[in-house]
Amino acid sequence: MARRLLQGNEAVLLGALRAGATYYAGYPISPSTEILMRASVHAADHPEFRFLQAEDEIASANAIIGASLAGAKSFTATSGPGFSLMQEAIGYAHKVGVPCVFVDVQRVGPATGMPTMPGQGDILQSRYGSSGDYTSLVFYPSSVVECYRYAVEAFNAAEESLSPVVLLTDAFIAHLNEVVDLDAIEVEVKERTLPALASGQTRLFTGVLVYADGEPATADADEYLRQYEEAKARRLTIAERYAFHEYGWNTEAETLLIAYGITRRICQPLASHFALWRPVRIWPVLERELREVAARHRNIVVVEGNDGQYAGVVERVLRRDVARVPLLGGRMSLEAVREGLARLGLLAPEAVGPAGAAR
Amino acid sequence: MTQTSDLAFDRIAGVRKTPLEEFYASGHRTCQGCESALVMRQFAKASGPRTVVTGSTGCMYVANTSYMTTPWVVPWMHTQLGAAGPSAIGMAAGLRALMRKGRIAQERINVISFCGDLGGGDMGLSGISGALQSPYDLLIILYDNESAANTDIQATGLTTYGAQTTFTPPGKVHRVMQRRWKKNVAGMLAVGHPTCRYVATACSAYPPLDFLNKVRKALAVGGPTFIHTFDPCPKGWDYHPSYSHELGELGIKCGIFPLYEIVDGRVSYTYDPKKKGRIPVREYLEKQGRFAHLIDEDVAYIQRRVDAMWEEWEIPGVAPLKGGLRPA
Repeated sequence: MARRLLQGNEAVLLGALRAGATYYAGYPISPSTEILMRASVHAADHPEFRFLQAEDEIASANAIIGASLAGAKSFTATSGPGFSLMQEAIGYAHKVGVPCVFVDVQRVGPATGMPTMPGQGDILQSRYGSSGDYTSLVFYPSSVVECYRYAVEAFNAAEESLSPVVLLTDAFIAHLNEVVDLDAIEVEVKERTLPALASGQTRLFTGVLVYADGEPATADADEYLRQYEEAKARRLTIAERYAFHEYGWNTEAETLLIAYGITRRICQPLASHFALWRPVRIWPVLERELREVAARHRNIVVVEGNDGQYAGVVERVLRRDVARVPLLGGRMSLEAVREGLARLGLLAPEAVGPAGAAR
Repeated sequence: MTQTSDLAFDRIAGVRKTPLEEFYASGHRTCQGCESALVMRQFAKASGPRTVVTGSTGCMYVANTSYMTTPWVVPWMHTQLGAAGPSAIGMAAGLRALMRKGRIAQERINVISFCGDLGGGDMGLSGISGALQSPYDLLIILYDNESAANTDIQATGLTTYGAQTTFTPPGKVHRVMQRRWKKNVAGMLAVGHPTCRYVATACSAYPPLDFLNKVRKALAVGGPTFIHTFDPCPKGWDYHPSYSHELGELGIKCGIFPLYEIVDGRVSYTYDPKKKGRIPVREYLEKQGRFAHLIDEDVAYIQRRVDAMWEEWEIPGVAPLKGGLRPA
């Protein structure tokens, strides 16, 4: 395959196929629908790839869990409201330890909100959306190439950690078209290690807390702690292998911008003015890396498409106040970032103007 | 088959007797030739001014309320995808509570909830089932254009077998990707909810006035009621908008969409193929671009299934059980 124009959503699908996904279940919702659509086109030509358009997101999420336990690498894609509906299933997958991938193409919520506009409002939902305590792995690419690459990594992380992994994108990244050469991208694919459901062993999967022999352990705090700590340790250990992040731009600058996904792209023209730190692995938070980088800069500004969801996390990790530039209502533009930075006194007002290189 | 025309309700006796007032007015953004918009217009006309409407996400939500403009003259509320049933229950219960407390006058206010085939036939099915067990007067209308029409024509559980949609494209290996047979929603709800007094199927195009009178009858019967409409969609079905009515009529006459009403468990056919005959389904299928990839074998398969529905089902078009009871 040579260089070609590719859309973010399509790149996610191709990444999933590269990772060996053979099952997709989904329900149409803007701005993620192209993934479902491309999956159906792929299924029409490839009988080994199974595709289900389910009756809702609850069904899609549970279908990919079933497919994964049966031995297929599986995934689904949705957007905010659908992701909310999937949360119970995600909790189940965490409890049971099911490797699968949930793609959430973020739009402006809550509810139907602004379906065609980009948002980043699901940062906390991707971590805390389901009930109880669990350890999530979440990646958030910033380009079409990265959509492909981190889709593969999401599958790898799911297989290694035996847990559902969330791949966040947003309406802009999903609909971005960029020229890419997928052959030039080297990715490693982790093969399935979890034995399939029909592999000959009698196996029991349940969302309830049980002992190894299947007896209920619903009132045994020690057993709960044992299983919880084991799952948490495993996922944190695996997450260390996927500590993707980026630090750069003007690293001598006083001010560090923290931006991820589409906001990192939007801030690009300010590269000469600011340092940038971008987490690709949104969860678990890259605490050590964040502390090291933050220590080098006097000011920290989190630019994000929500009202301070990640900024609050950064404050907790650094135990210091950070400034915020929230880009709300789909108004994700360089002007909005400049205005926000000028309000904070970090960018001269005359630098606020039409899009282009920072003046 | 028992005739149920003896039920007392304010029947619209002829086209010229149709009320002139519109409660779904001009100014909407639906496509040219949209039959679902006609469903909205007709049920609002039949129901009249003392009506509140709720509708779940779908093309009739998006196209009718964009940019803070709306054709709805009566109060209207958007509800989440899949929530047509529960939102109707909430509305009816709220009105009853206010009337009981004397906060609003005691009067008949029609509660009508609509949903598309995806929102009602797939995602919202459990919610509609719950509503049909409720003690409230409400009417749920499932407008069925056989696709998720506001998000670029994706297949649903109610899409006709074989149809091309953005999720069911013909491929090199698989010609037919929509391999699911259309769900029999009205029949399923009628059979599964023995206390629901009125379930019907309708088409705003054919026969004339039939849908308006079914709405009037459903509201007169009272309790939770359900109507499933058959709505040709020029964009999704790929035909010229001027043929919408014709396609509705062909769909009914070929028997692929059975037209009936069930009042208190009694079925009567609005268009009875046993008396009036059926045209070949090919005449209906060949006029739509979404079936252009089908070959004779596929058309024959669809014809066989439709034939079986009318000739082998215990209650044709309603319940796909065959041959009565077998000895134990």
